[in-house]
Amino acid sequence: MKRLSSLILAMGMALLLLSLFLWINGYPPARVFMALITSAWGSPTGLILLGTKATLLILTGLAVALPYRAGLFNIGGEGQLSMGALAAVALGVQPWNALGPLHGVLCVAAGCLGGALWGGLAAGLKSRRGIHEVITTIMLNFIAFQVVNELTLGVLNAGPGSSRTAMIAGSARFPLLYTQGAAQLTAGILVSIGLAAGLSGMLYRTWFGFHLRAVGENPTAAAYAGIAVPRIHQRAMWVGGGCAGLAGALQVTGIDYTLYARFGGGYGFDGIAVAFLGLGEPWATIPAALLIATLRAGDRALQLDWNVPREMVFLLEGLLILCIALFTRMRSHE
Amino acid sequence: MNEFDWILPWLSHELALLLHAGFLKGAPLLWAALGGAFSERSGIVNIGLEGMMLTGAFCAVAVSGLTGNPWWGLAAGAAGGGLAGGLHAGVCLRGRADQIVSGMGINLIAMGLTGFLLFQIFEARGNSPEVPKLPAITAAPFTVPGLNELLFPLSMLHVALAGVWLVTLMVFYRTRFGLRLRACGEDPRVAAAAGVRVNAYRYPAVILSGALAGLGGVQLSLSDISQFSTGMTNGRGFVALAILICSGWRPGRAAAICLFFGCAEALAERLQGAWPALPSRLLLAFPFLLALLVLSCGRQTMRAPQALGKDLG
Repeated sequence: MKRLSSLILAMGMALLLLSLFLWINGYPPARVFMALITSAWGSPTGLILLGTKATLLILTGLAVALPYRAGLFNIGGEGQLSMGALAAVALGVQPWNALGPLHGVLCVAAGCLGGALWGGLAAGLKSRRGIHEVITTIMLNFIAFQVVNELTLGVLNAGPGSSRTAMIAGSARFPLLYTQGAAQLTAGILVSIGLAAGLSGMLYRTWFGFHLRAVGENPTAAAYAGIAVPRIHQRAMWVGGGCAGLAGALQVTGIDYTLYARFGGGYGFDGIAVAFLGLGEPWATIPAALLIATLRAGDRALQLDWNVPREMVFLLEGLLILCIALFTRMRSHE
Repeated sequence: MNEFDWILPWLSHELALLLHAGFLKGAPLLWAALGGAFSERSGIVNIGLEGMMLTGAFCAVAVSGLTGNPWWGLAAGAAGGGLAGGLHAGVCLRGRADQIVSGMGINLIAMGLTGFLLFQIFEARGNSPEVPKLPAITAAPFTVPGLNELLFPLSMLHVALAGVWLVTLMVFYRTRFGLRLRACGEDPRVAAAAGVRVNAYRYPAVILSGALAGLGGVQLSLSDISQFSTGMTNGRGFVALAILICSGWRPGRAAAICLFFGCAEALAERLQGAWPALPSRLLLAFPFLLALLVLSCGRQTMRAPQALGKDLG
């Protein structure tokens, strides 16, 4: 309860600071926030966009939150998401219509695997070579970004002058939950909500979850108790990276049906804010993702109608992270 | 007359060009790495170098554009970086928040703030207009055979960087301030017991760290080119941090590694120019890959400041 009240205090503080900043720059903060909320929550298409963004943000939030509970600060969500998307699109563009829905399953599985391997790489470098995961995941982000660029503009490119891969085959598309006009909501939202709940259960109801938390809270004590700390770290990063990779796969198979160059709209970094707003609880990434998704779903309208640069979202996220670190003692490791 | 006589002059010419390009590319990295050294040797992790560089780069362009005087821009770049450093110091030292989290927060804030203010000040998205830039030294004031090609053209900031590097080495290893600063990074309790007011050393160190990283940003935005574009530091702050770790947190070695990184990057570009078939976009990932490789092949005995990133309470 105490944590929740300090969280609310931190959020209030961040909003206050942002309002002050907006006011100094000549924008009416209350109206800006109202515009943001109405554009995201006020119309069916807005809500669909909100759901779409939340789907991905829950997953990138989990990519931070789960390793966090094992004592790792995974800021490589962006790179893991990119690699997941790349793996998914590489299989998705194959003309395997004969496979039917299995094709889609393969794509999503490949996406998870791509993200998991990219995350596991950071864990391996930590346990084998002693390099801090913050450094490796950042480097891997930049590498993944260029790898995606190289392949989407190179081997996988749709044709001259295009900045994306070919469209994925119809059989690889993720099923839709709801459509209204051009706005579509994938069934991915069920997957991500289920995953958030499932991982919460895993964290508190299984041996693996128990070991994971033990390693996160005190690695020395956990090692004395016979828990293989590097192995837990490795698995936590696999799961985390897998979640981010799944987000990438959903983006490709459920939303864009292709992969654009210079991909990675910052969902990986948003994931840090989501995990922090959720105080590292897997289930709490759901409400936290809704909050950040509100910002992300409304930022375009904000820029068009109010001339507020979309970078405002990064500013607010940064303020939120600082305030949460100050008020709730969230650490980069527990 | 041997038919291979052309090779030696050609090779030395190419080598000089490469070293020169490497020096230019390594300079922003060294600014940030020196900044990182001050902060981390005092015991405060600074993953916010990237954001501090970005802030410096932006403030420099904004002020240079508004006043028309690049020297004011230079000062503003250092001040902006220092301000970001001050925020980091305040959050970590007074607020006792987690240092890595604070650094990431500062990176995000810098990304948001610079993008926002770019629109506010220049009514531009993505790229600022061109602003007056710092003067370059194109011709040597003196002639040294063979060295002119190696050194020029360069900017005032490069000269300043060489000076700052030397001063940093002096301060670290030859002054009482430096000794006490390092003591704070090794064991703040012992330092405090010996009568050192730990925070009186850490605050200036982290603020200075931001200012130096800011100057690295100025180097990018007001000296190498003359405009700001969003996210223009493009991970250089993180690479600088990796370089600092590779150097074992020693500013002297950090300079050598920065030069190595710069040359490697320049070489990659040169090769790309010679063989267009090479995957050009992949080469952009080269510094990051190199950083990972150097870190993972580095000696395991690299000794971090003992109190680096330790909880303050």
